[in-house]
Amino acid sequence: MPTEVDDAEILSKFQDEKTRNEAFNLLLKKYQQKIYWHIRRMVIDHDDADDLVQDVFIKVWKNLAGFRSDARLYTWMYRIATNECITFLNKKKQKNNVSLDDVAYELADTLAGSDYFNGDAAQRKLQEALLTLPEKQKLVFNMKYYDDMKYEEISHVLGTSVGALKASFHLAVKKIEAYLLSKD
Amino acid sequence: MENKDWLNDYKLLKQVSDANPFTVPAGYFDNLEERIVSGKNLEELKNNGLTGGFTVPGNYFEELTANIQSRLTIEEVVNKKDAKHFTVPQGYFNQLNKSIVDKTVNSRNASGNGMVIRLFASAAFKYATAACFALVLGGGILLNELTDPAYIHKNSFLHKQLSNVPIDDIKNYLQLNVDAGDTQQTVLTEGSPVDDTNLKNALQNYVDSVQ
Repeated sequence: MPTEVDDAEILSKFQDEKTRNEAFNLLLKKYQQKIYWHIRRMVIDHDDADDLVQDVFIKVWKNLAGFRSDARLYTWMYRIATNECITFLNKKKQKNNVSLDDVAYELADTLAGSDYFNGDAAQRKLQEALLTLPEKQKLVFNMKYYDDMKYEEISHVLGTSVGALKASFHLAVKKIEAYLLSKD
Repeated sequence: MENKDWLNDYKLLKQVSDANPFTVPAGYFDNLEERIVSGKNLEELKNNGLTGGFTVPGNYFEELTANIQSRLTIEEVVNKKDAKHFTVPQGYFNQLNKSIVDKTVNSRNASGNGMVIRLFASAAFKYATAACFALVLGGGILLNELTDPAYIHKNSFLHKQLSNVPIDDIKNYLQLNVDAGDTQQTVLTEGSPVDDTNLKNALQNYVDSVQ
């Protein structure tokens, strides 16, 4: 398995006009799947996730020159991806003139009819439970549960204090437990 | 997976596999990078395409805002200049025509007491005007009489003298003294002024010779 290129090296190459495209390709190789799955878990549908992941990386390309190296590159990209997801879901809500709950039902239908979901019954139930959560709780849970991100890193992504994130996470887990229990 | 100790507190959730349940179409990630780069290149092309290869003078866009604002200010001033500074009560012009008609045509028809103001009502003025007219007319006639050739002739010395000479004497004189050369001279000198002194002497000589 090839060793991943260090973020500092990617950024260094990006600063040079001659190696900028190479840096972007390295960035894509390193992060495209992480960003895709982060988006996919939020929007459920593969085609929507595919559109969004491309939009995210085009924004990364446009704004990487202004990236401050005091932040971690992948949390910065997660932040862009998260904002794109929230914008997308809000547009979906406005376009269909429905509430967020209705969007959750719509996403649940998408999940039920998706050809690209091969989880078992428990995993499907977990995803259904996640769809009942507020967006922020869902984001915190996904980043903690699937990506094993630390609270400090999630804090950089969401711009929320670690304490508030911990509270959100535990609230989310309790709701999920309650959902799983109620459907058993 | 790393530290998932927190799951020990949530038995139901711990029973669920934390593996990613979602899948993607076969080979999706194989060409995702290529598609993202294509999208990025297309975006760049689109952004570059906005200028279409054209350039603008230095600081053009920095000055554009100021230029537009200046134009707007000028337009505003011009529009204000064209606009009427005075206003009239609401509906004024709708009533104006009616008001004028009421005060003119309708007013005369209703009362029938139209006032006629004579500019020159004085009798003295009328007589003075008539006198002036008569004076001018008389002056004109007199001037015409005085410049009339017949009047001038009647008052001339020749006429006064010849009018005292009998017609038969004049005929006799002409028959005796006038020849073809005199007739020619008469024609040639027609319209020339008459020398009264010579004529007087000639006539006196003739009268003396007859007596």
